[in-house]
Amino acid sequence: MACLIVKYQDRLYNAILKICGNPDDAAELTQESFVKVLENIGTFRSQSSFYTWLFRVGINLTLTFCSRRLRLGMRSLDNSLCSKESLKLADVLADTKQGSPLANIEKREMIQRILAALEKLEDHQRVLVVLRDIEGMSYEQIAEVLQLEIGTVKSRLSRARLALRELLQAVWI
Amino acid sequence: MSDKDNLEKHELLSGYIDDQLSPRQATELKRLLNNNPQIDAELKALEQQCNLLRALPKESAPEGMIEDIKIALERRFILDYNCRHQDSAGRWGLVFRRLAATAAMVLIPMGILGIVVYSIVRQPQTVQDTMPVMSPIPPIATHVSNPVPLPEEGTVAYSALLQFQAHHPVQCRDFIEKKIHTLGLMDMTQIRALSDRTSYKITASRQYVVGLIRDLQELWPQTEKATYALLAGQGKDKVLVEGIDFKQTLEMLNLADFKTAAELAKTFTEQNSQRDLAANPDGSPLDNPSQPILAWDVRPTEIEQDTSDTICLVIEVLGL
Repeated sequence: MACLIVKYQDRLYNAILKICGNPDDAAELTQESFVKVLENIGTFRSQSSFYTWLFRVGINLTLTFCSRRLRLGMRSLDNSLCSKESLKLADVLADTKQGSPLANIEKREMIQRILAALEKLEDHQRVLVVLRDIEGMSYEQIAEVLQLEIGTVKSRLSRARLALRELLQAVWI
Repeated sequence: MSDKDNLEKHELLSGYIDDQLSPRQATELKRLLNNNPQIDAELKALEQQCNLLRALPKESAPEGMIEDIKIALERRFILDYNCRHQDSAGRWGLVFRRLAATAAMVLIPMGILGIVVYSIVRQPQTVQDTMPVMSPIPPIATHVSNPVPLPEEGTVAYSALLQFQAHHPVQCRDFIEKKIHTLGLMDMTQIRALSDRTSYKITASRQYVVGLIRDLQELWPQTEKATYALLAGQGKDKVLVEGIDFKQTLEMLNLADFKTAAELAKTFTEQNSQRDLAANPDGSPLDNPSQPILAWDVRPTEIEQDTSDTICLVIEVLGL
């Protein structure tokens, strides 16, 4: 059990964080996902991999959480994702092994803009972008996680990327 | 270029950077990219966007996630265990309560309805029950279905039938039974109830029978007609006295000799017919002039030879 958690916790947490945007919520959702999966480990069939099964549970929990948050009008007061990234980048900036400070500042600014644009995407589009471009899942794995046809994944991912590009163009100006 | 074309083009580009196009689609797109710099620029922008996303820093899960998950699992297990036990008990209890409530909802109205229906159906009988009993005397015999055994041949010196026709046979019957009971003739009396009549066969000494007739004096005014039949050997010969009154009955019973009794019966018959003619001058026949129907097979075969004083009298009550 511990091995499974160690193996997947960072990847699941990272994906959930990129979707929900709040580290505390992401930690709780990750934990809940693992608890659910381990509770129902007896019902797991080898038709799908444990990785996609875990992500399916995690993504479903996260989407439910996001829709409930949207319905209740709750939103994180601070952009935790950006601030966390900023903090991370500050550490990066302090690292002399990294590039020049100017380049790091540009990179940091760029990351903030990307995250801001990502946050403005609709939930289902954000999930696709996160799973493909951040988590690096294949189309087949995405289809298994989201219970969709591969053709649907293709078309929806294309639209999500297009929507993200438009948002990036908007925040870039 | 329309929006649809734009979406299709972008889907091709998206598939291209993910290496999801078929070889034919890829070849065609490459040719398009060589000839159209705008599409090529879009492809590069899309690749740059994806690279940016991939370059986003990977976040690590908070420390102690494993411990938190273990604690959560233990807590969930304990809670589930308790809930499962409480639920199982509560679930069955709830099922039982629901069943009981449903049964009560069905049975209580049905019971009330049954009581109401029973009271409605029972009502006429109850009214009948509350009517005053005409005679409190208990029945002297109840051998209705089985024929009453006749007295053995040779033991009866005299057999006769006294038949009453009345509008209120029940009252007459009760009156007769009361007198039989009073005189203590229950053991000597056999009763037979037919659909249209009730017969009392009294086999006793002449003295008792005459006493009974004396007590039944009040029966004559309550009846419409009394007929006396004196039965001779094998029951074939009989002498009828229609419209016999109380005194004539006593006289007939006191005669032990059949021949004398037969002559007296003829005399009474003539007297009674003259009396009836006087009461009914137009000469129309009286009601029920027919001979009485014997409910008993009384066979005084040994009347002349037998000198014992035991006689058999059948008192019969017919309703009009």
